[in-house]
Amino acid sequence: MLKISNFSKTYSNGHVAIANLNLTVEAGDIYAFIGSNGSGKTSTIKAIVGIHDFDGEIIVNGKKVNRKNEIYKKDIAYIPDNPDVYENLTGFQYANFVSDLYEVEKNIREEKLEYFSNLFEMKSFLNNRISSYSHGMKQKIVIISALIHSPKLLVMDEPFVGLDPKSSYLLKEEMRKLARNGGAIFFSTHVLEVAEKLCNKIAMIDNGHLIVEGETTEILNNSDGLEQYFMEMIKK
Amino acid sequence: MKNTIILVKNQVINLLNIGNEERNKKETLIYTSLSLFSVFLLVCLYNFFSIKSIIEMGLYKYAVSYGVSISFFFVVLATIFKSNSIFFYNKDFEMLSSFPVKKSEIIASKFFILYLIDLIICESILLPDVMFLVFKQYISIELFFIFLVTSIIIPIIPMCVASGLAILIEMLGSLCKRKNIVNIILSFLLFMGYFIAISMNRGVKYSALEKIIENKLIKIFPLAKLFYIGEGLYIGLAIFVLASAVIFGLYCTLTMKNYDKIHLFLNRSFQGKRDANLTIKIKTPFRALFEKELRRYLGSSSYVINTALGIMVLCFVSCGCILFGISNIKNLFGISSLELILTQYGSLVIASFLIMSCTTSSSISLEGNNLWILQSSPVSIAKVVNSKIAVNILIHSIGYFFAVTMIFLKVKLNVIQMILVLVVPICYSLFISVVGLYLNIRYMKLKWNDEISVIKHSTAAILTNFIAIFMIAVPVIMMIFLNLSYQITMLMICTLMLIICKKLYQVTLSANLCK
Repeated sequence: MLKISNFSKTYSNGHVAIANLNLTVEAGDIYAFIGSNGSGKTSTIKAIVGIHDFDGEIIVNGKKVNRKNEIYKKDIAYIPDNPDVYENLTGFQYANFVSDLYEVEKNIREEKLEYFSNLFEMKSFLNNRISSYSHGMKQKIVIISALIHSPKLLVMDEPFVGLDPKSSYLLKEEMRKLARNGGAIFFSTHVLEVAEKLCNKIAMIDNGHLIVEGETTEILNNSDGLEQYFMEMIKK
Repeated sequence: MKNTIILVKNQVINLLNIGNEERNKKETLIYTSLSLFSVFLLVCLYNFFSIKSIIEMGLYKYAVSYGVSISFFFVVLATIFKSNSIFFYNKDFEMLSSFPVKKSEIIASKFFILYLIDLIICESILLPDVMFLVFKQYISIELFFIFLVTSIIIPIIPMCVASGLAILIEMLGSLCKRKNIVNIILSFLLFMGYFIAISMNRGVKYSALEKIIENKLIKIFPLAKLFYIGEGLYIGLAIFVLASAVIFGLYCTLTMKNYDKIHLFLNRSFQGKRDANLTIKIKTPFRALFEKELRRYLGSSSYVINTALGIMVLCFVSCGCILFGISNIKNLFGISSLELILTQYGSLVIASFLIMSCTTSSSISLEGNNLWILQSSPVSIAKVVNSKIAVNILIHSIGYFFAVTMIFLKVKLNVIQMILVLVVPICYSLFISVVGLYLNIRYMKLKWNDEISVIKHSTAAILTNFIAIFMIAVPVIMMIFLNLSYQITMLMICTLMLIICKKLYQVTLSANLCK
């Protein structure tokens, strides 16, 4: 579903955010991307979804990530770490706007919007301007809008920040459902307990370099919990 | 005081985009300084020649008074459209409030920023004025320095008046659901009312030029009378300083002391009906982008007022001419040869109004932190670019429609003149829409705290305005100095503009919005 080969990202000021990253996310995977602040997680995620330029190759569902051909983006849904959305739109208008860009059919849109807005308890706020939403509600409207077009690959940057416990649980359930249905999830997180319980695969990066990649069960077999393992790895 | 200075310094850095790491700092600083200096120099030059002609007419008595009136007009115009954005709609207020600084220090820093901008406007008008007077020895060195010191106080009254009016308009708008539309209409009516009051000559028949000028100066700013050079000047200046202090005190008492209440009142938002029937309408990606862009545009009164004032004036005057006849409008504004101007140069007049209204020069920057939505969506850059250009053209087309209808109905034109009226404004509209967007992509400013810093003060916006003025001036200069006919000149200019437009559009389509 996602294949990253020889990936590097260097900023215009010369800072190398990530160097020579290689990893593969298969269909059905829930893949956690773990690392300290500034280790290159967000840079990688932004390159996958088309926000950043990069060196190397990224393939999403068989399609090459290419600035000049945006068609690969139809298979992706992106949820950023900060829910910066058009505040002058209502939640309903925003969700529709995103669906229009993904060319989602009317009946699917109606059904999914109804389902997700009820699930995340946003139905009664859809007609309000986003400027009146709390941080968590903005996060929810971004999640709802991202899921309407039934993405094959869900890319998320710290998705649980700002969500209430119930919404966090519901999002985890949706992630499991998507993976069961043949999709894949690739997300960054600092909450190692979530990665431990939710993900079947984990990658750890430090200072722009991949330090560990593999099945969660294998990693946990060789350590006393993910937190302990992470601390040992970054000390090396 | 120390905190206020730190806050002001920080805001100036942010305003000039110096601290932006996305682009080369040095390059940004050079371009911003150069463009600001060019505008400053241009205004200085214009005022220098205006003052020169007033003095050459033997009316040096009114020279400083003229400068004060003109600066009052421009400071009011500049402040009314940006003060609320700086004071009440700035994203940094909450963040700054969490620091160990007093609220009064934050407000003082914002007031000082506004004052600095207005002082630059004031000095660009008054400096050449008093310098010319002292060089030509109309005033003594002593008086020159007195005027120089007084010029520091001059922006206070127009600033307080305009800011107070802007707050009043916003508060009235906040009472209605369609807050922005009400704000735009009220601001426009206020501006037009003031403009008509200044221009109206009804019942006044002065034969002497001196009386006409005196009358106009007092109409623009009654206190300008206190700056007449001659006997009683010192008393006049003392009264002006006193009046400034009183108005400033009144402004601080009424607005700044009630800052929290006003802030809360202006930022309240109407809640939609919870059980509203939400009907889904499918749109193409382009249409969705276009409607989003239009909503974004109409959702910000400062964006509309700062980019469409020319179009509003064009519509207003065109409707006036259609309803009341050109002769009545001509008398109202005191432009005796209006009909002749419209017959011969109507196309350039319409084009001038259109080219001065550009939404694209800030449309990418205004995406700000929302740019990720477009970057990560499956839409081509062509659709994004076209949607932004389409909004600008739509706004232009409203003014174009009224102006062309008025000219076709009220002015007798030959076939060539008709073609020019139809074609020239379209060329200008396309040109400025593409140039604005190109410059915005070239000098993108995604990190900002208030919209005005992007809409008015960004490098792209300043350069676009500069190019717009240049493109109005070029045909006039060509006709005067190359002795070319109007038709030939416009044909050459339009061809050139379309070629540049095509090239820049292609460059824009291959632009990289990714970092």
